[in-house]
Amino acid sequence: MLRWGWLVLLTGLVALALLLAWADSTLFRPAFPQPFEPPRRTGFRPPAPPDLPLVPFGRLEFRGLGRVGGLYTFWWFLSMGAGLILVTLGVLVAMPLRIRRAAERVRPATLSLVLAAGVATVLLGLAATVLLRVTFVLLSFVPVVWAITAFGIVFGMAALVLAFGRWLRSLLGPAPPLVGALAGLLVLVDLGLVPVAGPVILVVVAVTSLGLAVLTRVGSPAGWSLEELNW
Amino acid sequence: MAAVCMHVRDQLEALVDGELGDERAVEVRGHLADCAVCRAHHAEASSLPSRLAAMSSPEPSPALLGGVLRRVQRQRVGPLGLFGPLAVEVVLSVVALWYVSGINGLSLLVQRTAADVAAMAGWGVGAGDLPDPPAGDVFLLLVCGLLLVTTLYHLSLLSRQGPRLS
Repeated sequence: MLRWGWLVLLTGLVALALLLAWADSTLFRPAFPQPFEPPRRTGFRPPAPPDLPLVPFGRLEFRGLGRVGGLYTFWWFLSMGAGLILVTLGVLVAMPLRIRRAAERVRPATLSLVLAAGVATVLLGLAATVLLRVTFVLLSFVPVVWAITAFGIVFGMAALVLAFGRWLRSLLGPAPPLVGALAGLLVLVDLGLVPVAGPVILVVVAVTSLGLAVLTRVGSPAGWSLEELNW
Repeated sequence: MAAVCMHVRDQLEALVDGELGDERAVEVRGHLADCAVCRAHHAEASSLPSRLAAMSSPEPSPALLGGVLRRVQRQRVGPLGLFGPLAVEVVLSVVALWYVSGINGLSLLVQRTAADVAAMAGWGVGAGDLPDPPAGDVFLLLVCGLLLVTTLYHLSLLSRQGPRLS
């Protein structure tokens, strides 16, 4: 059974995420670039939505938290956070042993090393993208490179939040590992929703996560040692 | 079973391992001389270590010693080796960024690449034209090639520290 400390922490983190999402979508919305905002014609009124005959009750119109669609709205921020949590927890459930091995190597003293590896990997990916593009024939490999990079980021992020959750468990008492990881993810979402600085924090965490995945060879037991080839 | 037998059997392992005091050992041996059941227990207990001692240990692999020595003697990479290449990477990145007109240029490059990939995918399913091959730029290729080599070398240095992270 979860202790009260965990329930208070999780509830507080969710409440903070809601508050930050609201602040981002209202007070700080102009700070976000909006390249996909369609130009609005003056005097143009959007057509009324068609009546849906199968809806058993009237259309729910609640505009207190802004419109549902569009970039940088309240619901957009929440769905991004929920998506990040779901994807990361999914990877955590799918590859628990490898993620645990990677998480065991996360220590404050090694974070600079991991970050350096992440920076080098990002630059390697960019350089490889330019070179693959010029070869033209190998252009099809570019999405593969990007997909592997994205997977490395999610994997490393899962390892980071698992390690963070373990540290939280040492403070707040026993709890299932996934609850600890969920708390770590909520902290990450909250940090990402901090106005202006949030995206920068997320980029740093993503680069560090990528570095962790690369350095541990996606949680391989022997790391990058090639001793297995020598028998 | 007599209480003395239970007491003796508790001390049989210590007797076999030679960890029993001299006085107590004489007493236990005296009981063993009189009690056939305890003697049988003693024979069983003393046979296991002797069987284990008689077993031949497997021959170690010829590569074992070399592998251990390689791991022990592997040179440790210093902070300069770990973080020095980062400076070269940053310089190359800044040069590349300057050459493609900053972040916007880089973003445009990535967007064009994505558009080319999408066009190629569309061409593959017969739903569009093949994109034009991009014009090569020798300077950018040179910088990216150098960046590729530097980052690979840097990652190889960092990965040597990988196992030590645990």
